[in-house]
Amino acid sequence: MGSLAKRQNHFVSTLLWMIFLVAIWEFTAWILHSVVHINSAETKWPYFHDLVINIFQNIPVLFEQGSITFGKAAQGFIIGTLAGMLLALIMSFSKSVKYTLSPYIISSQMIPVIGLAPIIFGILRDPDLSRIVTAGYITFFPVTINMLQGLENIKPQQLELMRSYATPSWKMYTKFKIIAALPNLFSGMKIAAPLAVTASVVVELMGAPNGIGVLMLSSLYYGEAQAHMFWSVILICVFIGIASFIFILLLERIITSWQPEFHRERNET
Amino acid sequence: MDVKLEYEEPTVEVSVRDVDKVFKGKDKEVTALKQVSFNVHKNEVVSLLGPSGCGKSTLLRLMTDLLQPTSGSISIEGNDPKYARLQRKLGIIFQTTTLFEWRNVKENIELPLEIMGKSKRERSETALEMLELVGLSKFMKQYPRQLSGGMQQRVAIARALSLDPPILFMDEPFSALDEFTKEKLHLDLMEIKRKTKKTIIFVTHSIPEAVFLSDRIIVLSAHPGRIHSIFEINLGYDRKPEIRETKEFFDYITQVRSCFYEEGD
Repeated sequence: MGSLAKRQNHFVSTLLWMIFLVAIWEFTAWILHSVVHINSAETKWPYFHDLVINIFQNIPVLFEQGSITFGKAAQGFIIGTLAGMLLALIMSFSKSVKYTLSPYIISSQMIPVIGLAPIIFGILRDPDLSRIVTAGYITFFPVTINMLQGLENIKPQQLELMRSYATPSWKMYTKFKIIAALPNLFSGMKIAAPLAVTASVVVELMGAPNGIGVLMLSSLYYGEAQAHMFWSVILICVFIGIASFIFILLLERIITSWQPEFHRERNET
Repeated sequence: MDVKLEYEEPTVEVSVRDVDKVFKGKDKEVTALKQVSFNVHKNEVVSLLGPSGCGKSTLLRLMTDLLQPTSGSISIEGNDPKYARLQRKLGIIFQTTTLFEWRNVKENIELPLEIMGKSKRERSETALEMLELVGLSKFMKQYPRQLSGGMQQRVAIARALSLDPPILFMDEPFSALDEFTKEKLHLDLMEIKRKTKKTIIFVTHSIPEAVFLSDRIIVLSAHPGRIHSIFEINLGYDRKPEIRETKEFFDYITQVRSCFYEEGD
């Protein structure tokens, strides 16, 4: 009962915060539009309610283009996650592979997406594939690093126990190390999920026939006339990013429901 | 006339001969154990007692093939520890809870059997039997996080017993528990010893615990770890809590304690 009240309390405070933020937004817009009278206020700081109206008016196109971007990002994310897991497993299995690959893995992340996207696009010459590959490329790094940390930060006495059972090395992974590393894997995935969406959008800005990035670009061309559309697209991007993060969060709760952190409330009451 | 002795020579279960263990650090070597030799007989409870840093946990890891001795030899039932480990003849219980958080109580107990490749039915039967033995049948569906420290250690004991190893190695299994739980588990261990006839090697830094549980206490001193003295504890086979009130019990404690004062200042 205590936890339910606490949850309600949490919900109410979140709601109040959102209302407060929207109020601040509207107030700032009003200052810029009607008090200070800055030039082209619509492009710089439109009213929030105008954006909401615009989103509702354009729901079909936003949804269509948004789901294309999300779909490509999701495909890349899945491939990147699998590749990242595989890489982490190989690196945890062999120290020499780990030390050989580490510098390359780190330097791979030194290339900014904005520079990488045209290269990948130039090589693949296919907008769909480019989006998937770029999203995957961004995903694998946090997944590998976090998963590897999980595979290595294993409780030493659990490891000794498994050794005392004469556990064959593949069972050491399937029955123990991989499961113990799942919370870390999810941490990596939570970082990667919104990044994969951003990567997909960046490729679209470079030239793709469809997707939320194209919508962003075309609304930019028309300047003030499409200002609301531009801002709406940005909000949709934020929404997709948050939604993908929350999706991973829920997945983690379902797959690793055993994590003690998920049961703390019950223990305290 | 020849007198035939009715005395049966006890079987040596574990034999440690002239064992040295040196840990090589970056620029210095640490001798953890020096010239350690002793035997443990079948059905015997032997405690390795000493202050932290005396190498008692290291010794346990040498006997269970988790570490290798620098020199000397160890045999378990006449073979080397590695063979015993691969034959799954070693049951180990650690101080910290080593239960797997993602498995419930029953699944934790089944894990070693699962690794051995036993059938599902066999696993389940053994697990239920072990749960009965440690009195946790009602809790088989619970997860480790839902159990108290004492219950978790009982599950760990049940899990170690599930492979039916002839020897149990216990590394300070009760030192993280409160005094009441500890005393309860001492009695549980007595009962398990009586029912399963295991040989038990018990690492501890508590003198009363060692005296209450052991047939013999091997006292180790630190820097480097070596055997200081060995005590026979003749308090009978099946010990009741009342023993803790007797003069003999206190006398043994005083005797053992004196080892630590004569050298430690």
